[in-house]
Amino acid sequence: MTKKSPRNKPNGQAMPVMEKVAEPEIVTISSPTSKPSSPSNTVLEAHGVHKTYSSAEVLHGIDFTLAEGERVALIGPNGAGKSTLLQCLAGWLPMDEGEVTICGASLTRDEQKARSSLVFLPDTPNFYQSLTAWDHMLMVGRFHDMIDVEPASEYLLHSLGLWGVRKSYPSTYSRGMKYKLGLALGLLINPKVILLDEPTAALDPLSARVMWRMLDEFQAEDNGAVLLSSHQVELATPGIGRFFLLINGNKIGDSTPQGWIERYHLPSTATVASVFTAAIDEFAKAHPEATGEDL
Amino acid sequence: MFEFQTRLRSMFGSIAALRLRQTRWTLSYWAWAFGLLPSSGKWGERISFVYIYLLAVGVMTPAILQLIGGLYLLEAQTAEALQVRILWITIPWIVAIIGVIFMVLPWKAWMLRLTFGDMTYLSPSPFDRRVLAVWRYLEMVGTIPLLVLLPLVLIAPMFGSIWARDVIPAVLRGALAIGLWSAPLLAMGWHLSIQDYVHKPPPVGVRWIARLSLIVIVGVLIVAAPDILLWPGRLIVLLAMGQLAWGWLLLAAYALLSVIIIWVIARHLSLTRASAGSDVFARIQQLGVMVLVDRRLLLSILGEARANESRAVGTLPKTRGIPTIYARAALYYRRQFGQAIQLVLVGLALGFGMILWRPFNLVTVIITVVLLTMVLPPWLASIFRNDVSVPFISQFIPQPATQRILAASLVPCLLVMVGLLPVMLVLNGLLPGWAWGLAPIVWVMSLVGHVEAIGKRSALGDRSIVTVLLGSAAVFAVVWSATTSSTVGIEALLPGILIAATVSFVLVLFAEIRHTGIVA
Repeated sequence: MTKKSPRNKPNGQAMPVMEKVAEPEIVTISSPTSKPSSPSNTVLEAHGVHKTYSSAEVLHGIDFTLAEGERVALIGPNGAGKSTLLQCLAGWLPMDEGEVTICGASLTRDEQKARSSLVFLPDTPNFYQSLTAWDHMLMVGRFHDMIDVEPASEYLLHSLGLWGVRKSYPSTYSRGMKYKLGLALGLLINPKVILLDEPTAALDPLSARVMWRMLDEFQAEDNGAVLLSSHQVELATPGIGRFFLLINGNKIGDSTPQGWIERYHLPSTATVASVFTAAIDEFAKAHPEATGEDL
Repeated sequence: MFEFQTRLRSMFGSIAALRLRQTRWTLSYWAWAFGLLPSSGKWGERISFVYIYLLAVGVMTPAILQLIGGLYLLEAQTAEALQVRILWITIPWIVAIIGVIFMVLPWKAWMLRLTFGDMTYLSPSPFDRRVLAVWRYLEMVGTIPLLVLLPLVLIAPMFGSIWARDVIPAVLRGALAIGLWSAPLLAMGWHLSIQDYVHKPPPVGVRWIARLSLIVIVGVLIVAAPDILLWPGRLIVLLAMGQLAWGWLLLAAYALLSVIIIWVIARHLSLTRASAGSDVFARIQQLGVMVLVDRRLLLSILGEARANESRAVGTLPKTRGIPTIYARAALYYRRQFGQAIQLVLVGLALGFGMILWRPFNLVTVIITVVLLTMVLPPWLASIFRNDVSVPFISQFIPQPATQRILAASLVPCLLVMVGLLPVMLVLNGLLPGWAWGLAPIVWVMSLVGHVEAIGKRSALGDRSIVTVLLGSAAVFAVVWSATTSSTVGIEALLPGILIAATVSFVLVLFAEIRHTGIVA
């Protein structure tokens, strides 16, 4: 019983097909500033996510939704809480308060099911010491009971430029190569949602272009959703539908590039930096207790 | 010439000053850690340290003195013929074995021991490589007498009771003689090892032939003329006894020659290569005392270094679903064969231990159970612990944590059984009737280790008082059931298996609760 419906990838190789879990239960969330998600396609939903480290609260009740096939950029100054939010959404870090639902499954009540639809790629992924890149691909595919795991892995490693070093241990890889291997593993199992922390920080321009193309494919062909945190995206970066801005652990807004331009009356050529500046000014007025150093 | 000498003196002076500063820093760190500095903590905390020291000194010093006194008394009562045999045969053999170790040690000991600081500042500097090499070599040689001091103190009456009146000069002479004797042996190892770090290293084959030749020579000597191997040990014994004064001259000449050899061969040393070779040492050194606190960090660095050095052999056997855990374990143990052997040896040790151990009373059983639970479970679950500590890969494994625990805990259990079963079958007559109960005990210990590795959500589980108590209770239940079973042979397994199954259920339930966050 399982898996079939291989799709042909550009080089003619079939992508693997996994055993599907139950169809996701659909939940509707409306957010005043975000692009409205259709009631039938929300794959990730967060309500009131609070996180505190020692006595410092780093996330203040964050609400967020992500729809099928959507790509959202999580932006904010250093220390805004982007990586913490991603880890909370992925279930890597327990929240203090709040609720996260992935494809209809609650992360707190039905963790196994919720996490089966999501892959989180941290800024520097770690791998098993005694397995090569190729072993990792085979192992993950076989744990997922996938057929055609070898051609699919070959396709992904070729595409990401890792085929020549597939028999090396990832501990010998550079940070960029580790990130690409992590991405290959993520795409191999065809999740519903991929969360990427600083995806372009370690990649050379060519690899970054390949990564964007593969994410395009993932969204277009698998209807996958992507949430990425990055300092290297701009309002004009193609493919990014919404920008979710965090400052000091507070959600400032969640809007399309045009939405941000209109909100702060910026020129059409505005950059993410100009959105930051306007948002920080607005935040400082609303929270006079926050000092300049905090921001 | 004069300028050269001045430069050398200044370089030796710099390195000595650097070493002094490092030593001072280390000492102040330890003083801080042991509550001796005002910055160590509040007065209350520091006073509690003093209490602990007084307690430790008060309890341990008399115990150690009593132990040494007892040993001395025993040695004094040893028949003279036996003492001579120990001095003339046993100790020279030990010295010969240590000598071989000294020759081989520098092959893998990151001889120059460069830290990240050295790599950054020393490697690109015009610092004379020979000074650095000789300094490090002398440090290594100088450590040897300090290391042998304690064993020499323990065996000192052997020297003292026969010829010398006072054991202290004998101990000091012995330590010095061993230090001088180690110099040429270490130099031989350094000579081979430095070839890896010169600007143009000789071909790998040549380096291996040189090393193999040394091993072959030692092998031939062991077979053909073992007495030759005993000469250095006998010389050291005689020197320790204050005999054979010309021996000092001989050893000193060899030591001087060794320093000259190191000085000459270090001329071609490349600090770039030496830095690359010291990478593992530098990473370990950077951990500081954490190496002692968390052995996993050390093992992780060593494992990674080993993996990087070696070519990946074998591929993942074909499986689907949960059996992939076994495929992964098979590949792991194929590549880390030493770890599989260690588990087999644990089985052998348990089997032989069964010959001696008897459940005399409840206290014996409880102490044994606590010791077993403290030591064995983390060892049995080491591969699983390594895996769980990588949450990035854990997210790609769709099987529930409990299923993974149950499947993974079987592998180390089977490896231990590979060592245990031959002992059980061959020495069946020497073993108690309940010995077969060891099988479920090993299983439960493996399960305890695996359960402990599962933490909350993606986190690696830590050992806590709860897990140790639960583990001890689990192992105790199975040990008690096995040792009190009225049946013998294979039938003794049945109650053990029943208890083990119940205990396993409780442990897995605990893991599930801990993992899903109901229990913090």
